Amino acid sequence: MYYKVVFSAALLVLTGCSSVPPPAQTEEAVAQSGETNPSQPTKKEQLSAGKSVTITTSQGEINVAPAVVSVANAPVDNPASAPQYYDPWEGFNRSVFAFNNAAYEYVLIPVSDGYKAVVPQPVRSSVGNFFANLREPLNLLNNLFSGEVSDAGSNLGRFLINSTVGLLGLFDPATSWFEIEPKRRSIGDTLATYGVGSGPYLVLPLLGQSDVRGGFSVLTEGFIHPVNHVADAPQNYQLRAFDGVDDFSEQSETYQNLYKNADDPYLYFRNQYLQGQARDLMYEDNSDR
Amino acid sequence: MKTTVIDNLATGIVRWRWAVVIAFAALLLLALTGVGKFKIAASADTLLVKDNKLYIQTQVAQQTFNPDEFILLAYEPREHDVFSDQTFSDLSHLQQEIEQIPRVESVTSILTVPLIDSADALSGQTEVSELTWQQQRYSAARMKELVSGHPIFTDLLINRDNTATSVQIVFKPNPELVKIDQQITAIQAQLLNRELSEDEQAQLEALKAQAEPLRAALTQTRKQEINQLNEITQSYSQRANTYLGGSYVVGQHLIDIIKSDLVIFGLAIALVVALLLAILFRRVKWVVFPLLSCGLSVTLTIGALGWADLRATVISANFVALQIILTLAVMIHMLGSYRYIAREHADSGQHKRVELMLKDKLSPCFFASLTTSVGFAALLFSGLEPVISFGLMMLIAMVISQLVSLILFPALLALLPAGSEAEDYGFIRKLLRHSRLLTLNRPGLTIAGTAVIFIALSVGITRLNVENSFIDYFADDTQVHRELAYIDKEFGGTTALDIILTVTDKPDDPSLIISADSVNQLQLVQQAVTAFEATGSVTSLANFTELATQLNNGRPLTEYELTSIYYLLNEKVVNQLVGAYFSEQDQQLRIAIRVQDTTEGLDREQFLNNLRQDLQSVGIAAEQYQLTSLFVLYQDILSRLFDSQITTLGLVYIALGLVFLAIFRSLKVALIALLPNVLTTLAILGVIGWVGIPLDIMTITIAAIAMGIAVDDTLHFVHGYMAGLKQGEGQAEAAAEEAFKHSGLAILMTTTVIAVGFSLFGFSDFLPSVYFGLLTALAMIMALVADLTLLPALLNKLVATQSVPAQPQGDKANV
Repeated sequence: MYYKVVFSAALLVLTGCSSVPPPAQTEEAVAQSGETNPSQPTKKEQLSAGKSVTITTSQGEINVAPAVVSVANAPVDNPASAPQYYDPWEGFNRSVFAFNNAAYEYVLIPVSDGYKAVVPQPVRSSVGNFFANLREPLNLLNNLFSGEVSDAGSNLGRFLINSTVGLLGLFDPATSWFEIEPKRRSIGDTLATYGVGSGPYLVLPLLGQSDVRGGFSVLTEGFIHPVNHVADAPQNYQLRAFDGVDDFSEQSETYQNLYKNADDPYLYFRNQYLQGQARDLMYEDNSDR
Repeated sequence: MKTTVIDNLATGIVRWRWAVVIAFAALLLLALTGVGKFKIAASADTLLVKDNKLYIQTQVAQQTFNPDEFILLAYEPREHDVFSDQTFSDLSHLQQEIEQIPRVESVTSILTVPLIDSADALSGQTEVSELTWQQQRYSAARMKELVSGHPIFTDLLINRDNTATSVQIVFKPNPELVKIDQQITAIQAQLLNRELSEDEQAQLEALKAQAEPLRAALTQTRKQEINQLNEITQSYSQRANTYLGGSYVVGQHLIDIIKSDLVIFGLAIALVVALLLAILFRRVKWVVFPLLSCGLSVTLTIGALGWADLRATVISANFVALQIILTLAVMIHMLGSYRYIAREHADSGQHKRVELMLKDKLSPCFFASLTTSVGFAALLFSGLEPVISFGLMMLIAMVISQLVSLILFPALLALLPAGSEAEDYGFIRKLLRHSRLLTLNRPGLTIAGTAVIFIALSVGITRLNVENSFIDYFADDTQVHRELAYIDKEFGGTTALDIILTVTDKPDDPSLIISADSVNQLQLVQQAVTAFEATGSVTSLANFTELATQLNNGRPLTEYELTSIYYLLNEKVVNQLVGAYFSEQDQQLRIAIRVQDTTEGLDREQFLNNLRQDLQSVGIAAEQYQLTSLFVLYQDILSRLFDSQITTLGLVYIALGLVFLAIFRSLKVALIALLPNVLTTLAILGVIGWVGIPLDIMTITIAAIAMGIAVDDTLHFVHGYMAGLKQGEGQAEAAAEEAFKHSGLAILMTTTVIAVGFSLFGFSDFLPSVYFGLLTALAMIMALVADLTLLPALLNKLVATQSVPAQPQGDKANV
C-alpha cells in the first residue's frame, strides 16, 4: 500500500527536482535571512556553516577548520541564521514515522532482540557479510555507471574472493587478508553523480528516513537486487526480510536510545539525516574542487 | 634608669646562673615533646594563597570536571622502535606490576585506550571499549597507524616524534578526603559573593582539621608510590629510559629535597661555623658553647613550631640554617666583648668578666635582635600567605634565639673558669685600621666612592623580572631535573592551566546536548591556545571532534551526530573521552592546557596577557570565561611580588628608622644608620636584576632578610661609635678608634661566619636555596663594606664634628 504511494510520488517528484530546487525553498530562505541578517556572521557561525575561517591572534594568522557543522538542505544566504530544513511533506512523513515506530516497537525490536539472543555475534557478522557480498554486483554496476572504474574493480575482486575463499561470502577475507576495502554504491549515489537532486525529505515505511532519490533507489534495487537471481519468490522476499532484520538488529539499540533521548524524535531523526546529507554534499563539493 | 635595669639584669643572670640553666633544661624537655609534632608541608600547594577568588574558582572547577590525579611514566626505548612487540610486552608487564600498587585505579597506555579507526564505531554499532590493543592485539605497524598523530593521545600517551610512549597512572581519590574537600569548597565558594559568617568560619576550621591527617597520610603514600614506581622501572632500564613526571611528582621531589637540605645544610653550616670559630678564637670552649647554644635554640624552636602547628614550607625550610647563623651572630658580639674585657682586665674573675660583658653588650645585642625581628615582621605584611607564615616562624625563632643567647649563654659562661684569650690576627687589625683611617681622612671621597658603587648596582632593579618555573627550581645536572624536563618537553608540559568557558549559545533543538556554534567557539579558542609555543598538551572536546572528523574522512560531524554519539557511547567511554571537558549540567566547557615550563625565554605574564587578548579577539567576552588552575594561581602571586616587595621593604625602612630613633635619640644619627642598610638592600635587588635571576616567591624574601641581618652590624657599630664619642668629647678620631676596635672586629667575624655559612647553600640542588644562600652571603659582605666605609665616613663628617660645636672645623664642615 505504502509502497505504491511512495513509488508514484517518487517518480512524480524525481523528474521535477532533479536540477531545480523547489521554489518554496528559496522564498523561505530569503524571508529568513532578511529577518536575521542585520550584521556579518561571526567566526563561529561561519564555522558552523562549514566554512574555514582565519583568525588573527598574538601568534599570527591561524586557519581554523570547522569542528562541528550545522547545515541543512535549504540554502540560506546568511550563515548566521539557523539551518533551514526543507520538509514539505512533513505531515505525511510524521505519520509514516509514527507507523514505523510502532512497527519497530512491537515487531522489529522484539524480533531482532530474539535474533540477537539466538544468533551469536560471529554468526550475525557472517550474515551481514553474506548479504553484503550478495550486493557486490549491484555496487559494481553502480560504480561502473558512475565512472568509478577502480572502485568497480574492487567490487569485482571482493565478490570473487569472498564468494570463494570467503565461503559464499560468509567471511570477508578480501578486507582482512587482501586489504581491498568495500566500495558500496547505490542507485541513489549513481543518480547523484548525474546531478539528480535529492528531492524532499521522505520517510519510507519500515526502511526509515530517506529522500525521494533514496526512495527511488531502494525501490529499484528491490527489483534488480542480486538476491532475486539466487532465489525465487517467496524465498527472495524472506531472504530480504532476513537481511532487513539482520541490518536492523545492528541498529535497534541505536534507534531506541536516540528515540528515548529526543524531545521530538521526528525532528531529531529528520534533522540528523538532513544535516548529514547536506554536510556530505558540501564536503563532496569541496573535495571535487 | 636604663643602665640600672641592665646592671640588675647582668648581675641577676650571673647570680642566678644555675636557675637559668635549670629553667632552660625544663624548657628543652617541653620542647622535645613538640619536636615530634613538627611537620614539613612542602607540596607545591603550600606556595599558594588560599583565600582568594582565583583559588576558590579553581577548586570549584576541579569539582565540576573532576579530573583525575595522575602521574606520567614515560618509556623511551633505547634500541627498538616505540611501535614494536618489545614495547608492547614491556608496557603490558609494566601495567601489571603498577596495578599491584593499592591506590592505583587504572593504568592508561596506548595498549588500553580504544583506538577507533572508522566513524562507524561511533554510531553505536561497535563496542568501542573493545577496540584496544589488549583485546585486538593489533600489529606494530597497525598500532603506528592508529596511534601516531592521534588528536587526543598525542602529547599524552605518545610524543610527537614517535620516540617514546607514556603510561598514565591514575590514582583513586580518598573518598573521605574528597567529601571533606567538597564541603570546604562549598563553604569557600560563598567567599566569592560575601564574607563568611562566624559559624561558617568555625565549620571551615573544623573541616580543615579533619582533612589534615588524611592529607598528611596521602603525602606519605605518594612518596612510597613514587619509590615503588622507580623500583618497578628499574628492571626495564636496560632496554629503555624511563621518566616520571607530572605536577605532583614535582611536589614530591620538592619535599624530598627540602627535607634533605634541612638536615644536610643544617649540619654543614654547623660544621663550617665550628671550624671558623676554632680558627678565629682558637679555644675549644668558644666552639663548643656557641654551637651548643645554637643547637638548643633550634631544638626549642622546632618544638615550639611543633606545638604551634606551624609547618615548614618550601620557603621556610631554611629556617634552621638562618637561626643557627642569627644566634651565632649575637654570641660572637658577646664573645668579642668578653675577650676584649678579658684582655683589658686579665686578673678579673669569670663572674666579673661576664657581668662587664653583659653591661657592655646586653643593650646593643637586644636592640640588634629587635631590629632583625623587625625585618622578619615586615614579611607579615607581604600579603602572601606562605611568606607570612615564614615571617611568623622566624619571629618565634628570633625570640628564642634572644632568650638563649642573651640569658642562657652568659649564664653558661659564668659557669666556666676564667681563661686566657688568643690574640687576634694581625691582618684583620690592619684591615680595620686602613678602613678607619680612610674614613677619617677622606670621608667625602669614601662616601662618594661607595655611593657610586651601590647606586650602579641598584640600577639593576630596573631589570628585575618575575618568573616561576618549577623545573628550574632543580639544578640542571640532577636526575630530577632531567626526568621532569623530559616529560615537560616530550609529553606536553607540566603546569596546569584551565580555561573554563560558559556555554552561551543555546541549541535550536532542545534535544541537542550542545550547539555547533558552541563547539566552534571552543574550536576557535583551542586553535588560538595551541598556537602558543609554550602550550604543550591542549585537550578539550575539540580534540574529540577532530578525531571524529579524521575518522569521517575529513568531514566534520554535524551537531546532531555529535549529540547522538554522546548518547550512544557507553558511559565509561564518554567519561574517558569528554567527561573531564564538558559539563552538561553546568553548561561549561573546559580546555585543559599544560604549559611547558622549559620553553626558552617564556615570559609568563606576557603569555597570560596575550592569551586574554586572543580570547577576546576570537569572540569570548571577559565574563564568559575563567582562567584557573596552578599556572594562574602562581602567576597571581608573582604579579603581586613587586607590590609586596615594595610594601615589605618600605615597612622595614620605616620600622628600623623608628627603632634607630628610639635607640639613638637623634633623627640625624637614625637616618645615617639607616642609609647603609637601605643601600645594601637596593644593591642586592639590583644584583638580582643584573644577574637575571627571576624574582619569585623564594627570592622575594632575600632583601628583607638581608636587611634584618645586616642591620645588626650597623647597630653595634653606631653603638660603639656613640659610646666612643661620649668618652672622646665629640672627637671623631676617638669615636672611630673605639667603634672599630670594639665592634669592627666582631662585625668582621660575624660577617665572615654568616657569609661562609650561607654560601654553603651554593652546593644545594635546589636552585632557590642556592640563590638564597649566595645572595644573602653577598648581602652580608655588602653590608660589611657599607658599615666599615660609608657609615663611619658619614658619622665622622656629619655627627662627630656637630656634637662639638666649639670646634671651628665642625662649623665649616656643617655649612
